Amino acid sequence: MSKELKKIMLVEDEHDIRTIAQIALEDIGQFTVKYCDSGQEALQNIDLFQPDLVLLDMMMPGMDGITVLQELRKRPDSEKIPVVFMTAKVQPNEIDQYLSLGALGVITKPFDPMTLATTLQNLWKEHHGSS
Amino acid sequence: MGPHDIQNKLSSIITAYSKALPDKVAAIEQLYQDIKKQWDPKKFADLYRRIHNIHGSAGMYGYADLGQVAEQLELYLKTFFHQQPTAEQLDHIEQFLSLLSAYSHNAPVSIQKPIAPGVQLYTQSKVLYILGKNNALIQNIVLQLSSFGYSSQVFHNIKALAKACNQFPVVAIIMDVEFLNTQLEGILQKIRKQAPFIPLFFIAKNDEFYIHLRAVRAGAQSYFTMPVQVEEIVAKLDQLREQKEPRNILIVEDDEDTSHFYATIFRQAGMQIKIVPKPAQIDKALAEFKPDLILMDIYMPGCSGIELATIIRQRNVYASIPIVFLSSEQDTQTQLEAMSLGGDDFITKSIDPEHLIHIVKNKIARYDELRSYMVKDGLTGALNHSAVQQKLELDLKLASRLKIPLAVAMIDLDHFKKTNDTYGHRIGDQVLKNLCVLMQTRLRKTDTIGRYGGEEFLVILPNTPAEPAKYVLDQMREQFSKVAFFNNNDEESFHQTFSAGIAISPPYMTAASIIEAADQAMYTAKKEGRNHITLAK
Repeated sequence: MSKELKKIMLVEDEHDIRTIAQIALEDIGQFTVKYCDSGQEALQNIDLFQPDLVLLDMMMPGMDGITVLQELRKRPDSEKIPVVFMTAKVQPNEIDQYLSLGALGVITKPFDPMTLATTLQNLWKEHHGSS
Repeated sequence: MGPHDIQNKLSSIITAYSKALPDKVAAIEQLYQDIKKQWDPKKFADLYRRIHNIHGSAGMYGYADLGQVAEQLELYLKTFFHQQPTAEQLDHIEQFLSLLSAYSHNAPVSIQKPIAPGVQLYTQSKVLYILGKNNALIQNIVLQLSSFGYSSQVFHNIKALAKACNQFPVVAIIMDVEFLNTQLEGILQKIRKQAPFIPLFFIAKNDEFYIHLRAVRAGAQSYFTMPVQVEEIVAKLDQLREQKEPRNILIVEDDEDTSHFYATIFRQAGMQIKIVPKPAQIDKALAEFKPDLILMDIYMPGCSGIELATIIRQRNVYASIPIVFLSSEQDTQTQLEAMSLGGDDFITKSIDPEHLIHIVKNKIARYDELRSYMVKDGLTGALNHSAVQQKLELDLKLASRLKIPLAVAMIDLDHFKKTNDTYGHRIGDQVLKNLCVLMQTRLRKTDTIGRYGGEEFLVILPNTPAEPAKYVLDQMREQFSKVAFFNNNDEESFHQTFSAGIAISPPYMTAASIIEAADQAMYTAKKEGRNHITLAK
């Protein structure tokens, strides 16, 4: 894992959200991004891509976000990679739950594409500050 | 890629989404028609997937309402993966789809909000941070806030709160003013540097001046003294979350240099300007531009500012628009005359631009306030009886012209006399205010809430067919019934419910007939046991 936030794995099944996220992450954030359609695809590709951070949409059908996070934590190659959730609803108990499971942060949808990269950078700085 | 290119790229994706939306909705409608004729689980799964897609993406492209309808429909469709829908349930789906179609025609609202001077919030967030102890007062506040749809996270120390502020969009921070000390003030300063748009609300025991001053210096946006009225906190939060429309300033000034000078100042403050160089052109400008305030020179060829102001005031519609005169220092006598004849203020041409903006903003805010007193019910802020009837007539006309449905709900509190008798009118008033604020948070900007009687409210929902209207009212009914109100000593809690009747246009085409029908339906709801929503026949 590099000291800088460079590689992001985006786990998102909706094409319409991916197109905006691409601008937010690649054009504005200048990150290298790997796009995965599902939790399964993410788990299959994580070892090869070795992202600095995983941005995971909670609203996907199939394997849910919490399971993906738990699976990542089980593997030695991915257990240290920080995960940020994207969700449409944020209740206080949900924030607690995600944080206690080890999520780095939560992004609410819809997100402002102009500031997504900065938010992820800030979360990354926090993460590195404490480790 | 430069910022300009990025903006263009974003705009073109957003435009493409908007363009593709009608076809997406048409495809969904076609799928539904096929399924209605002949049930097909594969087609149903396709329908579900498409609704899910709209649910997930609409919000990102500025179609928040559309996204919400898609969310509700998606939830409803989940029931039919294991059992076919009945004819009635198919109708219900059909009504959701008509709502979906209606919202897909709205213009998208950009989710990128320009940073305006003042406070800008993450408007999608309804999360609050509270710095407080884990006592009954805080728990009470958290509970009441949740009934308005605001989730609160309570922090016991400021450092944890500061850390969280960085990560999650939060609407406001509420804290007890007793927490204020030098260390806290330092941390608050840091928070405000990193997240300048998170407003700070303080709760205080009383009005003590120096404590309030300290809070103001710490950056207080609002200050609430005990007993804490959560409805007021919510009203303030809702006010902050609303995107303020840019203000319109009309400048009547024949000298081009002067008018452009002021136009620049106002534009930089985020306002919209129209310049009228000749007083005779005033009528057209007033009707089309609809200014919030008029700035005019006292001396103009052909017609003085004072004369023009008199003309404007004598046209009843504009009787109370704020008028500010521009004058040069010498004419004190004229200035006084100007004030007495209808000017709201005068400013000298050498005024400091910031001072000018300040005066103008205050005048507009005051005008807004006055205007609202004339049409709003004093206690709840809902429209008063006559205003809501007028609005209903207008909305009905529009609905019939556009051939879209309109729903009217008559809401009546259950056993309210008993509530007033048992707990007193002050608590009764709180219950009424609470219901109004709850309705405001649940309903759309295009909906109208009116106070029809002592304990009766009339709600107008344009572009809403029967089932969705019933669904929304039922959710409100459920939410309201869960609110815990407290008696004077905060010892006893009680609940209040309401019954409502809903009537739809068509078939009811006049205000009188639709109100009558909704009223009848409301009585049926009462007869059927109260805490109930009934549709008119």
